[in-house]
Amino acid sequence: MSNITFKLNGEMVSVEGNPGVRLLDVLRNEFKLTGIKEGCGEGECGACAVLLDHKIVNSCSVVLANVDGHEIMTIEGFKNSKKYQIIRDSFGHAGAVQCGFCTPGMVIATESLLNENPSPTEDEIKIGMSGNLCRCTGYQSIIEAVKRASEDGDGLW
Amino acid sequence: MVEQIIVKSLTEALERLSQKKYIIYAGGTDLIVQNRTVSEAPIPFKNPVLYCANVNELKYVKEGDDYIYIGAMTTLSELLDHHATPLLLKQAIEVMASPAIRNIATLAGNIGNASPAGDSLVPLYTLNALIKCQSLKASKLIPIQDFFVGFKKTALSDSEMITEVIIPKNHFTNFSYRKVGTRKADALSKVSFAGAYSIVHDKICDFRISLGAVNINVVRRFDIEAKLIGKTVSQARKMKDQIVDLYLSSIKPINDQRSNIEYRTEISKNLISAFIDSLD
Repeated sequence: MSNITFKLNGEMVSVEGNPGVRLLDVLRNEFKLTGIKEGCGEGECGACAVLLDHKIVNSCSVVLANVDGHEIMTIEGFKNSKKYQIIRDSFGHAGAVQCGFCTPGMVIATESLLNENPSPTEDEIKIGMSGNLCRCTGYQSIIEAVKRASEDGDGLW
Repeated sequence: MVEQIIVKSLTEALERLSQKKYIIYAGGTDLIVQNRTVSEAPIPFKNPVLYCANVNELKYVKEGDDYIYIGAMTTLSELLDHHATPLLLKQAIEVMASPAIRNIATLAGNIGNASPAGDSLVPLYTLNALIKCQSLKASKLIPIQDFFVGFKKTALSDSEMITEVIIPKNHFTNFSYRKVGTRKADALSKVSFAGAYSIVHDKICDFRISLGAVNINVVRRFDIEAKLIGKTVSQARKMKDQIVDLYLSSIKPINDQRSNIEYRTEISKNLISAFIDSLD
């Protein structure tokens, strides 16, 4: 058993337990943060994406041990920000949401990409979103949404 | 539950390793998939685990006069962002997995995992990388082709861990990385290729090819490369069929869920042919 301390959505938290549990399960079961979803469970679909030190990671592929001393932001923490509002609106306008299962991951991927590159080209958007699968809308509307968020959020990132 | 230890310093990690055998866990993106069973259950590791991702002293890229030094806990994203990372290696990393995986996966982890399809291994063979294996008492540098000693087997002993990857600074006339997979992101290779050459006064003075996912370890054949050293470009082109045949005799591709023997053989042949055609 280990005691693991990290910042979760801006607050310091401690978890006493098995360090070999997946961050995904800790967030969903211990903290009831159910915005993230388990899709493939092996790091290929991005439905469980969160930000680790402001960068996208798949929470199904991270053990609790590895977040010790780090900062995790989930979609629930991110939703209070102006950046989130821009991304939410751009996804709405572009029609980039249908069933919604992939959407929290897509929003996190957008935030991570724009943090690194506030004005990505279409190719850079495709690379930035390449780890996130959507089975409903097709990807064109999602690429449009990211492009729009980058334009509408000019100066924010 | 097996023993699981989080270490924060290299000394602590090496002390633990001197006492017993541990699974050395870095980013863990392969280990978690290989060991998981059912959703929501802790990963049921079969051996004690040493979590090393937070050993910050092993997170670095340093550039010396002749070598690049990469700390074992450096992530693939950090390597992509660093100016000193060799371009051939960057080309391979760019098409490994996805940004989310690259943000936690490490280069040393890809080496330690020792998969025949490990994408970073192919450029590392071509670049003559050295693997630093360290124990509490000593450290040794092993050329990458000697580090892999069989299917998923490495020369690392139980008391050692990879602490650094050292890459000589190479100056090639041209180089090329190619990955053939089912899709651009999140795909494992059917075949991967890293070639490099140097030509001075129309004579080939350096020629290197490494092929991945076509044998139990990456294939690099110094003896075949030597046949082209000192040759002119036109002489080398005339030797193309002979060279391709030599490489094909040294690969042993398999049928699996990703590809088959025929396809892997044909692709290997085409990649080598195209690379020889590109000599200029």
